[in-house]
Amino acid sequence: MRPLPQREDPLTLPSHRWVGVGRGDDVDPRVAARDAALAAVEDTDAALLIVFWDVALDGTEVLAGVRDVVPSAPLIGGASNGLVAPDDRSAHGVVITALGGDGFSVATASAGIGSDVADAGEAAASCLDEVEEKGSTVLLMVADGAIQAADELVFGAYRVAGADVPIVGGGLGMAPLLDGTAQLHDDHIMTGAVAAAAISSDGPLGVGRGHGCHRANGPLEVTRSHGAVVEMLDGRPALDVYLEVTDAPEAAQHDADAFSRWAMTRPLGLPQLAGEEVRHVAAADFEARTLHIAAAVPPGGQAWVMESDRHAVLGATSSALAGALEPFPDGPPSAVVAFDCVARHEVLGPDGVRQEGVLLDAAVGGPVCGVYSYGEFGRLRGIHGYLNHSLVVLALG
Amino acid sequence: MSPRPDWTAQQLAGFLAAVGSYLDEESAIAGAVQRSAIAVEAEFAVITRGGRVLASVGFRRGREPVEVLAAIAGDDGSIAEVPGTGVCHVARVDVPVDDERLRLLVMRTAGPFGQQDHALLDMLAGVLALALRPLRALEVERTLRHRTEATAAENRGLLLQLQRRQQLLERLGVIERSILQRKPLQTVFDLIAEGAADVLDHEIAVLRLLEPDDRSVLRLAASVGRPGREHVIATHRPADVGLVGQAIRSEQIVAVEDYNSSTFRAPDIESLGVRSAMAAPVQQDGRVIGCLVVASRRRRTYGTATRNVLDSFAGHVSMALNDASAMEAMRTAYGEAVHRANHDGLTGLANRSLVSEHLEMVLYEGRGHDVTVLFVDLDRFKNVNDSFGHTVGDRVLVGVAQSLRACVRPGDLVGRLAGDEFVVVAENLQRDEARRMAERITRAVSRPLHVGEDREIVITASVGVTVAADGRDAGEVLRDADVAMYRAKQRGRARIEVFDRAMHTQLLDRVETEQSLRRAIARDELRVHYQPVYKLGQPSPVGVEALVRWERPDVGMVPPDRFIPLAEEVGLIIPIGLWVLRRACRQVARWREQDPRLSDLRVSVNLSARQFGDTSLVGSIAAVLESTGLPADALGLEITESVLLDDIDATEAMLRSLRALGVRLSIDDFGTGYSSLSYLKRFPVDEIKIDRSFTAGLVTDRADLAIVQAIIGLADAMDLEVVAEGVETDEQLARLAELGCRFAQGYLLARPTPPAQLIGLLPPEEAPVAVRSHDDPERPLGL
Repeated sequence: MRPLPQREDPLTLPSHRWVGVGRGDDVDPRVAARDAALAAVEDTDAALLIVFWDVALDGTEVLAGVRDVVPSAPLIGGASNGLVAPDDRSAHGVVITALGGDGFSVATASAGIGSDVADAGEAAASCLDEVEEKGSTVLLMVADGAIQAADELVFGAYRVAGADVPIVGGGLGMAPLLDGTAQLHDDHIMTGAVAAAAISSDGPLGVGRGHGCHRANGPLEVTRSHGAVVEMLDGRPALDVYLEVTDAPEAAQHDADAFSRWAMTRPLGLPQLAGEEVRHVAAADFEARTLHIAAAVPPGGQAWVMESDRHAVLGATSSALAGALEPFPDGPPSAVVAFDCVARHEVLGPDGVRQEGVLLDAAVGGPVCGVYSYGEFGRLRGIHGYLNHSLVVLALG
Repeated sequence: MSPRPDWTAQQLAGFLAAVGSYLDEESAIAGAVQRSAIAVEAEFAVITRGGRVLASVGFRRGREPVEVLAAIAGDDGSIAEVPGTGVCHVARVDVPVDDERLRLLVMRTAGPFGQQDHALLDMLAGVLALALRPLRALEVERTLRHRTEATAAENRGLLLQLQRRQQLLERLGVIERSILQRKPLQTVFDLIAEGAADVLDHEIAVLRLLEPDDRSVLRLAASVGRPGREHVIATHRPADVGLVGQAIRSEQIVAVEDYNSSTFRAPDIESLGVRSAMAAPVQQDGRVIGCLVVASRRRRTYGTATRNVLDSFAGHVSMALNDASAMEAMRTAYGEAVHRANHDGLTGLANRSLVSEHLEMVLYEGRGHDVTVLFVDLDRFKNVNDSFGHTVGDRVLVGVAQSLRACVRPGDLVGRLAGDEFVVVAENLQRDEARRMAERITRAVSRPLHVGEDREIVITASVGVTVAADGRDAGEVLRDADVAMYRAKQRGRARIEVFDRAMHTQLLDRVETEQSLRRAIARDELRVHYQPVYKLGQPSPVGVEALVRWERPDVGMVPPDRFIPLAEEVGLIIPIGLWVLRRACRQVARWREQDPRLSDLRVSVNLSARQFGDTSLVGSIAAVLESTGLPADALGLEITESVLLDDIDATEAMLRSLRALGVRLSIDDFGTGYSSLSYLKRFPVDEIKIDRSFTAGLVTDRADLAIVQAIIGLADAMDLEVVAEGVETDEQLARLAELGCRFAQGYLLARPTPPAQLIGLLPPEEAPVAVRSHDDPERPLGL
């Protein structure tokens, strides 16, 4: 445990606060979850367990394993396409961050995501109304990565959180494309939902983000779009233009899987005041010659095709960490929770993935609690907080 | 950071798409605050009405500081203190809806709101007003419907009206999208005229705009329901006539239900069979610039709702025009900004960033083609600035830029990287063509430049040429050309050098040496050695020349010619020179005090060109003399001929200042430069040192002998002392004595030596009067 900061009021009893992280990689998901929980939980007064597991594991078994250790503590988390870890075995298990003690106050909520995505964000973020305010507060959200207009989720949450509360999190897995995708809230395992935890601490909380993409081709004029479907770029069918400027291989021009793989590392960048907002190109409609983007792309604006490489991605990892660790000048935080875009995984390749796992573990001086995500939430300043191809890091002390 | 035009369009697009989708006023306002915040990337947005907060975003729910916000909204400051966040930049814009005014307030921490932010906010406010107006009308109708027991006929009428509203919203949506997609203005105008006619169910709709250069004339911009061949709507008509004239004058909607009996009727309109008509003024930037008219051959009644519909269409004409002019302004500003960002303000040439970008592009595209880069650097440009001022310096740069442009082919890029560094990027240039281009450049640059009234300046350029090898990036290619240019400078300036890889190694050596030299002073690796100067016939030296040595721990003693030119070039010679001066004066003062044989010992110290040009030199020397206690006349300063001739007037002034201190001045390496007799007479010098090359040939070369004879004769005539340098043989010494030279130094007499060993070179106190060689102090020199 890191020493607690001196409290200002000498008449107040010093608060107690603890944070622990555990990984479990047993082939039995219940055992893996139990191992992870046992390693993470340091005391009986757990305020929250953040639980991530690989989609290959049975979520109910994971939940049962956690409940073997903590029968009633609030839970939030979910299953996704692998965990951020320095080795392959750990990447396919369970990882848990547990926090407790009276120095933390936590409230949780969840909502199914219907036609009004922003409303769901607002409903989940309502847990902020319940949390006992301490020194710093953050809103952690996990959602189904398959939802459309996920940017609205953050805008909805922002209506409750306002500018002073950072929003972090990500989309975990993509139901129904990815079997086993789940969002966890307490004892409920859901899909198509968003779960949120308002975490308030009398200690430091740090948040950082980074992506590592740069402009490669463009600018292209978004001539016509509806929501997240881009129909025309530069006055021509969007898919044709995209395939042409990225010099796409033959397979990507008619095969959906090949296209997804190709587009995975070639997102769009929409110009913003402070640089590009990176938007993942999720799919192509080969009939309509349109592009399906991870969030709405307004017509009349411009877009760039973005690219990145291993070095830039690792550089962004460092800068995200640097942002998150800023409130911890004297030593590492007790835990780091990371949401790392699956596309970054692709760019990094096996060596880069290991390097990133090592980098993150080294920053916290122990295992990082990280998950690969489909869309990240990282609102720190300004109003925008829905990210793609990014790493978002929450440091807890 | 100022927003980019593409960013602005993006945000306007997002705002329009969102705000158009709401079906009631409250939702539209709540949505608009959030969309406004998104559009200008602000943490906070608020809409107030009459000092009351209607909606806000950016605050914890239920904790909106409504009073503070109302106060900020009513204020006009550009920054405000937001509770919980601190200082924020503020922008406000009014949203006129019917006869009331909403106010949109946005606040952000990232940076102040610029002109383009404000332009965008104005557009957002306009869009919001247009979206709210029909929603408000709908709301009134909804309320009415609830309040009254409507008859079936009324219900049908209401339904019809609601359908018309829906039609209106759809039409306006189409027009807004066409504005956003930057469709041609004519298309937008046609859509507006068509929309107004359809939605209001009138047969005729006409849009007329005032001629920009003659506001008395209206031009036809768009029309629908054109009459038959017998009736032609005039493309131009007076602006002050009829219904249209009244709408323009009054700046209000004018509706005439019975056209034939109205005072505004005009014969040409009457002849179309018009019975009812309505005209709405069109504004741009708050000024009426035209009129949208609908007319019907049936008798109509015009209620408020109908008038508002026409007003909405007229508002969209304004929106299209404002958007077009904003876009034009942005395009112009953007174009100018891009040009400014890519070009050098003084010469108009491409700047470093454009050169790099262009070079990257041609290297990328030009695989298989030669890409040649010529790096052009003016020689001694600093002297121009120092001597004539920066205005003249700038004129020279502009002149050089013109010369460079004239020397290249169309399509070649000429850029100015910084200061006096220029670059030419040329494609498909053969090596000999590249050399010819470089020669053209050196010739063109060296032509006299007129820089003012009757003033001409001649400047030369050193040029480095490189042909880009495969796989090299722009930075590497520029660096190669720079290295070649540097070599041209090293080899005497006004030259052309073509890059080869060996140059890099040499450059690296140089950089490494420079770094070590910088550290040498701090690490006390420099030494001063002293070479005695003898008066022929005297056993003890009359003076010593202080010579700096560098003892590098890793490589041993570094010869002066390996580091002095470098120190001179990078400016280190000034601190090194001062250090040598101080050390030598202190040492000689000590010798004079401690050893009677050296009580009149003088010391001479070399002054480099840089030191000579340093304005603090005289003060530094005076301070050294004072701190070391060495009498001024015991210090001699040696200056080479080339330094003296750089700027005769400045040289003379400097020499006189030095002379005023009482120090002795000597000309070093005399005879090697542009030995000019006139300056010997003009400058206050005390001594000439005959260069070692003449001493070496003294016995064997008749020409050298003649030169030495001449120098000694000249010195005699001008009452200057002469010191022969580099005396290495007895024969040379004897010949110098014969010629009347009275002072000498050289290996024959004594090598430069560390201070501790100098005393060992002195003869015993009672020694015979004879000069002894360093190597064999016992051996008399036979004089």
